[in-house]
Amino acid sequence: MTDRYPAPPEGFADFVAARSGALLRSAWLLTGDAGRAEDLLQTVLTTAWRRWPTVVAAGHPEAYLRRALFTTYVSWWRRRWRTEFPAATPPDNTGPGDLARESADRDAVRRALARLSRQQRAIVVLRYAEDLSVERTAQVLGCSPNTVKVQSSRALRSLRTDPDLSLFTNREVVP
Amino acid sequence: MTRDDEDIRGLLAGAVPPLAAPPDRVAEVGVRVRRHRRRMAGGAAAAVALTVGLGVGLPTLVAAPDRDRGAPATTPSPQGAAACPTGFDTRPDLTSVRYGDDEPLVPTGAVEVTSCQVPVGSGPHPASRIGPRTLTTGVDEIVRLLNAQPPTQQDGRGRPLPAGEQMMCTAKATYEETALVLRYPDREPVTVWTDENCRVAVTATHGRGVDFGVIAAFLDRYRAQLAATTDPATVTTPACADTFPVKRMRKNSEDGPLSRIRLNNSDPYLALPTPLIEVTACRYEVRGQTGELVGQQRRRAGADEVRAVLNQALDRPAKSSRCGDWPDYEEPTLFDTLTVADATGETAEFWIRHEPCRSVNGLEALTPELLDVMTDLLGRPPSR
Repeated sequence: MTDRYPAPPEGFADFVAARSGALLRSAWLLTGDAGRAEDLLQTVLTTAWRRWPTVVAAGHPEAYLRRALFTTYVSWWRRRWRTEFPAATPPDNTGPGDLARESADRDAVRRALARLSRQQRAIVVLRYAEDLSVERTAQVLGCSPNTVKVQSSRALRSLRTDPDLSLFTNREVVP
Repeated sequence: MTRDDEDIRGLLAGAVPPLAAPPDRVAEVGVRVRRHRRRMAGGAAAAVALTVGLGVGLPTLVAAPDRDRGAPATTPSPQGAAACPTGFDTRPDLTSVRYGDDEPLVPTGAVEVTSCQVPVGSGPHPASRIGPRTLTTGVDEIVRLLNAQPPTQQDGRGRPLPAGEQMMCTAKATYEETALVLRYPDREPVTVWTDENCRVAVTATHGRGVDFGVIAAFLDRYRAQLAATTDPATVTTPACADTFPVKRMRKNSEDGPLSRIRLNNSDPYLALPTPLIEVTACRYEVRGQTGELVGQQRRRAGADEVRAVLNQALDRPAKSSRCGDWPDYEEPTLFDTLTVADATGETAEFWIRHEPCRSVNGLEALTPELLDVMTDLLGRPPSR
């Protein structure tokens, strides 16, 4: 037991060390903001900590966390971020290369994702960043496979026609 | 997978910037877990207390409405240590915290605020360094001011940064930044880091623009606390040194007159905001490279009358020295030092050169009134 917080349940710290990086990347794709992504991740980790024996007993801690990440994100808009000020765009900490171009590309994707509905955004991230099937995506979000298909199709159409993403996808635009 | 699918996948894969992780994410989550447990326990305890209070306290109050209300509440002890940061390795990335939400920057209920000066690089000159300053009165006001800070970075005119613009920071050389450590009776300390160049204040998770009026308010409160808790009988000025190295008076010397009073002063146009308890004047004649003490006077009665004179000398427009500038500097041959101690127990030092020319260090102008004070204390200085 530390002075500042209770001792984590067995295996929790190892799980966080191994998987939180990937979860944080998903959280960023959902929120588009590093601070919110960390907040979202820590929120679901807090829930998992309190239920860790149950989470482990179910056999797939990462699946539990991933589902919690997405469902928490989808449900949060009513409670926390609705009245939020648009945050200043943080400068990306890029490595060598065309820094301005990389930063602009990232910002374009972030803005395009921000134009999707929360459900569409979650579906896009699950399907294309997490490589989940339609069925697994439906399971994670607690909706029907048909909803995933419909919303996925609408999201892709929106991304294809997004003005910020035309630089990347114009060769793919179907009239 | 279609070409569209591959494109989207590629876009998403390359969109995530490098993300900074907190130094100990498990610890951060652990703190949230503990907070959650306390909230739950507090809620249950409050429900029990309310039930018991209504059942027992209400009839008692009704039966004896005029009885003594009992002893005043005591301030609960704060948890955790007020550990001042000594560097910036633990400061959150200013651009990664969340700006602009409607959550308070710091929780209410703090019972103690410690102001810490975190050195930038090698920090300020040793004589200008000040240790942690802890405020235990008026803490609520500081918390209120912190939570009333603007939601996002402001420009020099106090206008918010337009949405979508990157944080802008000046590159002014600073020797230190201020961090405030707030302590609570029921939670771990919270550290608020301020950044003078970026004009923001951040905690581990949240950020605001910063109006440095909150630091001024802290200093005003702190000075009042010091004055209220310092016994005037213990306040004194240092005795005159027998010798004084003349090189300290050279232009651009880093070892100029020291004002510890200034370090707690929020008003740049008022050198001495607190009543004076004692003044000490020393007169030196220079022999070789050393000033030798030839006269001294320490005075407590009427010491505060000197304060108005010194404040007036600071408020005057600066006058160029008649002693010439570096490297054509004329070394003094006769000069005075004046050291004052105020009700907070801190001191400030001023130097007045008489020969071969007149000038002052630590103030803006050598006024006739200040010359009168020095004459009253040490006798008439030689006139040119």
